[in-house]
Amino acid sequence: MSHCRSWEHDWSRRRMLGVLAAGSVGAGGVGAAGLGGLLQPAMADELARNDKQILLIWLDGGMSQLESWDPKPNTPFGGPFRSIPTTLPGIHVSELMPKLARQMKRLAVVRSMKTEDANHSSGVPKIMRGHPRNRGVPYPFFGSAVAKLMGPTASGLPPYVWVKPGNGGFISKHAGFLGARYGALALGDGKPPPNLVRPDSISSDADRVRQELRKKFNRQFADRRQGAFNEANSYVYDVAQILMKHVELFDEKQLKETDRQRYGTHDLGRHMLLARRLIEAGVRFVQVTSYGWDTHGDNFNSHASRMPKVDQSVSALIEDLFDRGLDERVLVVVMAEFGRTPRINGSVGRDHWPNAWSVAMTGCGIRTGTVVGETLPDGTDVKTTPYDIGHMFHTWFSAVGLDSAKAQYTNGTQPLPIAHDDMHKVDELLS
Amino acid sequence: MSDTKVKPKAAESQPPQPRELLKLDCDRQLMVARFSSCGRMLIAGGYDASIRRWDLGGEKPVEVDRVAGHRGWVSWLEVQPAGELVFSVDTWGRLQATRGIAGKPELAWHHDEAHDGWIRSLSVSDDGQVVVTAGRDGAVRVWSAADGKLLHEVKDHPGEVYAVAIHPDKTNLVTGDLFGVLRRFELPGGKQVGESIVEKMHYYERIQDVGGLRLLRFHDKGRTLICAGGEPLKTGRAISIPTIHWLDWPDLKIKHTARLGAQNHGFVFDLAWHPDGFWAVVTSGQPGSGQFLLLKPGQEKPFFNSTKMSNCHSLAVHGDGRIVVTASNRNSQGNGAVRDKMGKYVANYSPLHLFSAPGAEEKPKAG
Repeated sequence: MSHCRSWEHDWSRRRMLGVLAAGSVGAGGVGAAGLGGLLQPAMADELARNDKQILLIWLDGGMSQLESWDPKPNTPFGGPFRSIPTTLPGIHVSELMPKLARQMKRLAVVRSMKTEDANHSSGVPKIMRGHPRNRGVPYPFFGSAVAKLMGPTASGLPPYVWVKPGNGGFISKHAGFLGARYGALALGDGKPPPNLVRPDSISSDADRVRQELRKKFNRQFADRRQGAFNEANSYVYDVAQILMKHVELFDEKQLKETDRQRYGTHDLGRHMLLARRLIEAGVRFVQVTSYGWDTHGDNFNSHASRMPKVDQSVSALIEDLFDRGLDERVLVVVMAEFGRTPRINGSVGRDHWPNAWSVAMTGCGIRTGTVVGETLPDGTDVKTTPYDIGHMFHTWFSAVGLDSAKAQYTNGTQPLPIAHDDMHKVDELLS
Repeated sequence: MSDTKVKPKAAESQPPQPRELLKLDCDRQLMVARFSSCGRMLIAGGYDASIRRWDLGGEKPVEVDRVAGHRGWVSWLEVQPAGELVFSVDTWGRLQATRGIAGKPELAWHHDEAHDGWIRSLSVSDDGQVVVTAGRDGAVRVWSAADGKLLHEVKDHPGEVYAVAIHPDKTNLVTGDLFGVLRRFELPGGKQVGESIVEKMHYYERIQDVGGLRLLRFHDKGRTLICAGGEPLKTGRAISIPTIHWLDWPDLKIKHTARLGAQNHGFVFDLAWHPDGFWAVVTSGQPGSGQFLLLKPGQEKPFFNSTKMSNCHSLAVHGDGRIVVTASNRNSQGNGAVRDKMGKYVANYSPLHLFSAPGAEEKPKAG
């Protein structure tokens, strides 16, 4: 069993449930995006000031760095697209990202990512875990790590919510050795878990009785099973209870039509807009996943179709975060498990390429208007100091106020660093 | 039980087959190849923003100077029928006309910004007087072949235009877009007068539209429109069944369809009518699944299918019946950082395979 140490979060489960009670008082009058109605005023202030949040945009399969952040037009591996200038003098990105080009002053891009694993099955967890040194235990994914280290915000909402295409559910395996309860609450296609809202046919009194009965059964169930398992099982029910108080988050009728159009009516646009609302409501860590980026064939047509949707939805999100002042406390990261080969294969595709790729980020003290690192003119390797995902984890933890050089997990009696102990934060990325 | 012996059937006569005559090396990847109108020069465009030329007049083909001017990939080129010009387009929006391609090439005219970005398709009228281009910018433009003057313009397609063809009588043009929609426009004026959706030539999943309608050609003096590409089944990879539809013109009704392989075979990348009365077709899909096919009109099964070339991207038919196919080199796929003996990261390339006219060895040689 793992434990938090004193430097870790103060938000115990008891406090979280206490916060829930506070939240439930004000929930009746809350708007879709507002925090104020959810919380007691002091808590809302605390959240607004200090509670850092993270939004990870995961482009599963591997977006091409050459068709996005690090174009190499008119070079042997450059592909068919042009590059365009950005709001950062001298910095160009692919013509497929005109809106993000205008947001570059609000972004930091690392062009010198060099990681080790060119396979999806092993590469995704390595990147998601920050590629820590192997200590024989499965490290948590980024979202689970943050859920453990920082806990829920004062909103009491589940700390790790994953908005993804396909099915939802509670994904406990992301938690690794931390234990199942630090897993991801996955919202399949951005939809809430089924039957979230109490049917009209069940009165609130009847529902209360049912909940008591459930708790009784849970206790009986718990008596015969291990503590960690029980805690996770109980936690899932708690999460459902919390979400029942925030059904307005999933009510698309409350969305402004202008927002829908700005983010896009495609899956990624809808999911990004939901992510913004989840962040605004106080979810600690939101991950949005887009699948299908493994463009071994027809890479350029694929990116011609996909990139404008990323461009549209990510730029709309960044606009909103900055316009609302949320950039001060929300870290946004856009990445995948690797980039794509400079070499263009016979299927007019690009294959897997961890040797030189890019990650973009902003918010939470990330130094915006920064491009860190450089690749060779033909894009085949990193020219400057290469950075691993471990460097990024140190940097991101630092941005949200965690000292990753000191902080540790405890796995039983085993202390474990929260990021690779041979790596460090990238100072260039932090203001 | 009868003891009547079954008389073996006479072996069915094997349709004439082409055979590979030679392979030319090209150090870069190619998108399109054609023969010059005089037949002496093999020309090709590809990833290096130039027009490559091989002189076929000597004992052995010899690569000669490249034609410059382009900046992005040379995405398409066509030879002016009964003329001296070669028209080429690139992925950065340039259209150019080159004179003297078989000798000393010179630029006849050009437009650096004929389109905003990738020009997907180029078509030349049968009389060689009009050039039509279509691109990612959703625009279709009609140009005078003689001087490059813009004659007509059709803007605001709702999606990228993947293919365009001009009718032999020049009174209509037809476009095919990312979503598998055919549109017929009158010339001059550019008024839309017809529309049809080619079923299965578009697929959407995981925020990606996969366009299957990639080639349009008129045939049979404009009575037939050929619509070729594939029926995509997945995103992210070239998973698609190569497909050709023959449609009645101007009704846009499908009268015959040929599906040329399995889902790993991808898309029809190029096709040409052979003077001996059949279609020559190339396909490219999953790694190593290229096909070079010969198909008789009205049939669904090819009478010749070579799968020896890794991924085939273009073909052209010479006036004497020979066929050239551009392909990708084998072993061109994979996630590893393939390097040569000097440690240099290796790029792929496109060998050109020259085939005899089918049955040519049985024919008396001209001259």
